[in-house]
Amino acid sequence: MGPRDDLSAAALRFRVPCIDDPSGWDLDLGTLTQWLAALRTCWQCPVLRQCGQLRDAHYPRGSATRRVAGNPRSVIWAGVAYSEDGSPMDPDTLRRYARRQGRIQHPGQATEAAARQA
Amino acid sequence: MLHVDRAWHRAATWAHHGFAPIDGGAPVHGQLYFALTELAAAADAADLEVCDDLILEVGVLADLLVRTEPVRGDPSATSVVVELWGELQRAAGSKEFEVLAAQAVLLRRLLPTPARARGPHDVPRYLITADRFGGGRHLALVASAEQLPPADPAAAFLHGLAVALLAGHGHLVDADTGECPQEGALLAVGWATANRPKGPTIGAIDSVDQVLILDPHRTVQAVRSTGHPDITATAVAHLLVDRWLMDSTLVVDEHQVLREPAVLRTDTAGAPTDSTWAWRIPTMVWAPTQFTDRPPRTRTLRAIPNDPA
Repeated sequence: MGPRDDLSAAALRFRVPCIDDPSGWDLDLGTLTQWLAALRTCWQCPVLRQCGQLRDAHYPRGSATRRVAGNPRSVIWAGVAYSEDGSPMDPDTLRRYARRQGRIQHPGQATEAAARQA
Repeated sequence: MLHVDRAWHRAATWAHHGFAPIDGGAPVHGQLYFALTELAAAADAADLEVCDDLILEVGVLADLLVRTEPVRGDPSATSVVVELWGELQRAAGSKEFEVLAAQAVLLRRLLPTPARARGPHDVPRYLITADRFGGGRHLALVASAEQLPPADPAAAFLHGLAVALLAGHGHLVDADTGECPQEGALLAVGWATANRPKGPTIGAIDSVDQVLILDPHRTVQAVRSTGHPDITATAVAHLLVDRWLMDSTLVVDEHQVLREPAVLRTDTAGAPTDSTWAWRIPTMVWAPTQFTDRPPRTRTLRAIPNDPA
């Protein structure tokens, strides 16, 4: 059974939120609040190991330390946030990334990016 | 602007390889696991005061963690702990509660899930203010000894304390002078007149810091006289600490961190006395006018001589 089958079987046993609504895991969408919530969901997910194996199967050249073509991009996958160039980001780096992208939403307001476009 | 290009990054490598927890079940692992859980909860509630306390506790426990196996013998694990702890402090310092909560959950991933239930030396579950004594931000004003107590046990004890003072089963002194509290409503702090206290001294009121500092056993004795014959100091102390209604102390030594549901007594110069423990309860858990009929005062500067040694 390959990584995809392993994850699918595990995911069927648990209602993993990223399958129901993957938008919170997409760094081209959403806000810092949603991204941090997605990371916390990953870190407490019962199929985190299988999810990481699936990621590694799709990105066998992936790395924890280098900006390489082998990492996912603009996505949260298996508890790791990857920037648009594939750099892994911890929560503080993600916060700074969100600020640069205008993806920090203050209560009752649009995101900074939406405000700039308005 | 500084950029960093790292050939190795222990925390990122740990994340890339699936956030594997360390091995072992040392007491500090469980204590830190629970502390990080409640820090995340307090950060989710944006409770700055509790976050401050829990950051302090996490720091004490993290220090013990890196001096305890297996982290002590594993430079990579030590590097991960130090980095994650630093990021957590940074988020706390800038009051970024969302990031703080996420960092707490992330650091907790390094720890094995405790196989035991929460114990007396673990941080209690975080409670928002409204849940600390059955509802409301403080007790209703206790105006007479005949007033019925609330059903909630923590609220009932605190109500009983106010009743004990009103009924003259004990009195409070001013924490600075040791005499009748000047800002106090005399009857409410157990005084018949400014020169005549009623019952034994059960503690002191600090009108500047807005806390009661109580002798546990004398306080329990006084409250027992109001119709609570079965209460014990130990049970009351743990109840109030578990409800985040009373101060506690982490007692730290080389190999362990223990929680005492009390604070050390200090003399007027601020030095510990003979290691007697006292209860320290903020007056804000009672109605604002329960013990005082005046606004809070400031403390005058007091000179304390240097130790000639």
